[in-house]
Amino acid sequence: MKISTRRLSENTDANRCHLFSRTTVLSTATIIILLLIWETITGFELISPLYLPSPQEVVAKLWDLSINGYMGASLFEHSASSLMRISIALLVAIFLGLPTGLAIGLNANARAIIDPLIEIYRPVPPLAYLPLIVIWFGIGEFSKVFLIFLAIFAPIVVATAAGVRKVDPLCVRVTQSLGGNRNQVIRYVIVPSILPDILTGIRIGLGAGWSTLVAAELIAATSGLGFMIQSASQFLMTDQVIAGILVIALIAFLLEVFLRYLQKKFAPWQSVRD
Amino acid sequence: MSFLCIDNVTVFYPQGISPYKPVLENLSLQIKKDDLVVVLGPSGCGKTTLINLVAGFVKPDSGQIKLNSNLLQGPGADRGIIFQENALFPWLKVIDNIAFGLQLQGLPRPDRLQTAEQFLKLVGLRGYGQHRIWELSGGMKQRVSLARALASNPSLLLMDEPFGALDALAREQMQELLLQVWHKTHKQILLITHDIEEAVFLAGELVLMASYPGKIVDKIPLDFSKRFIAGEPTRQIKSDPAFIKTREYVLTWLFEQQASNHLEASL
Repeated sequence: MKISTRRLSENTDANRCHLFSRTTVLSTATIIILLLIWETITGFELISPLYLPSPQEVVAKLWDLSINGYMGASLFEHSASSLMRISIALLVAIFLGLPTGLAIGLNANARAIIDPLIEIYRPVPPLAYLPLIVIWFGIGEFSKVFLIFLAIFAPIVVATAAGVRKVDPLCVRVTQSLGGNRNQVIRYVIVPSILPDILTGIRIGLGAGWSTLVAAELIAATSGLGFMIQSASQFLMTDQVIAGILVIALIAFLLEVFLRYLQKKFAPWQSVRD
Repeated sequence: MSFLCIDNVTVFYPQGISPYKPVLENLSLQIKKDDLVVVLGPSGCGKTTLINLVAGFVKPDSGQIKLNSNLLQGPGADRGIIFQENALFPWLKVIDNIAFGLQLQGLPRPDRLQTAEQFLKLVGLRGYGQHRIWELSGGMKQRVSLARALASNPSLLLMDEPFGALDALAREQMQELLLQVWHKTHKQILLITHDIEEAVFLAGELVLMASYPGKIVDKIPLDFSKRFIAGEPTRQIKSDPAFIKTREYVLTWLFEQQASNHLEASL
C-alpha cells in the first residue's frame, strides 16, 4: 500500500511537469470543437434561435443577468442564495456527520444502531423526500436546506466510518506500544488517517447536494439558480436557461477543484481517489 | 538488572486453526540486559504470536510474562515495537514521527525534537528530519521506525521480521546498523525473522521454535554479532566456515521441521 501511494504521487508530479500533455490538449480540443459545432449550427440557423441561441447570445445574456439580474435579483444574488443554502447544509452535515461516522467506525453498538437508519434512507434519491418535507415543513428555506443536508450527510457518515475501518492496525499498535491510550490513538492516529476519507465524503456529498439543491429550486423557490432557469424556461428564454446551466456547471466544477486542492494539501500522501 | 522473563506461557487462539491445540505451549524464555535474542522457526510456529504476547496485544491463557520484575498487562512504552511494514505516520514529518512517543508522554515540542534529532543521527539519517515519509526508501523508513522506537527509551525492543521487505543490500546495511545501535544503547532485543543468515549473524542467542503447538526446541548461543562489534567486516564473518556451518545446520533443522509437519498433517 505504501509503495503504491508513492508511485501515485510520482505520477501526479509527472503530470504537473507536462501541463500541455497529450491528454490536456485532447480535452481542450474537445471543448473547442463542441463550441465550433454549436457556432456553426446557430450561424446557419439550422435550429431556430428560440430553441438554441448562439454562444454569443448566451454570453450576452450572462452579462445582462449579472448587470440587470432577473426577477429583482442579480445573477450573483441567485448564485449566492443557492450557495448559502448548500453551505449551511454542508456545515450542519459535517458537524453531525463526523461524530456519527466516528461512532460507527469505533463502536460496534453504535454501528448496530445507526447503520440500519443510514442504509434505509441513503439509497432513496433525496428529491423523493421533497414532497414529504414540503408537507411537514412547508416550502420555506428550512425545507430546502434540510433536503440538501440529507443528501450530504449520508456520504460523509459512510466515508468517515469506512475510513476508520481501514486505519492501519499496525499504526494503532505502534501507538499503543509507545504508551498511547485510547483517546490518543483516536486523536493522533485515527483522525489524521481518515482526513482524506472525510474530504472524499465531502466531495461526494457536495456533488449530490448541489444537484439536489438545483432540482429542489426547480420545484419550490423564489430565488436561486434552479429557480432562475425553471422560471426562464416557462417564458421560453432559452438563452437564460443555457446561461443558468453553465453557471451551475461552473460552480460545481469550482467546488470540485477546491476540494481536490484541499485533499492534495491536507493529505498529500494519498492521491485523489474517486 | 533489567530483563524479560517469559514463564511457562500457553496461548490458545479463539479462532485458531485447531481449537484443541495451543498456538504456544509451555513456552519459557529469558532475555537479559544486553541480549539480542533471535527467534527462528517454520511458518505457523507462533513467532508473531510470541512478539504480540510480549508487546501486550495478546494475553496468555496461562503462565506469566515479567519485564524488570513487573507483570506485563497490555501494551506499554517500556517495549518498543518495529514491524516489517514500517507503520510510520505519513501526515508527520520524519522528525515528528521519531518524536511521536515523546509527544504521547506530553513532552514539550522543543525538548522532544531535540531528543528525536539525536536518534535521527544515531540511525544515520542526519538532515532528513524535515522530509516526508513517502520521500524515503524502504531502508530509510525502517531506520525511522527504529529511531521512533528507541526515542521513547524502552527497555526492550521487539522486532517482527523488521528487514523482511528490504532488498539484500539494504537488509545487510540494516543488520549492521542494528548491531551498532544495539552496542551503543545496550537494549534488550527480541527479533523474529525467517531469514536464516540474518538470524545467525545477529543472534547472541538463537532460539529455534517448532510448530503445532509452538514451542522452543533449542537455544544456540552465537557470537558472530560480537565479532562484528569487535570490528570484523560483515562479508568476512558471513563467509567464515564456522558461520556457514551454523547456517547449514539451522537450515537442515528447518527442513526437517517442515518435513515432520507435513507428515503430521498427512496422518
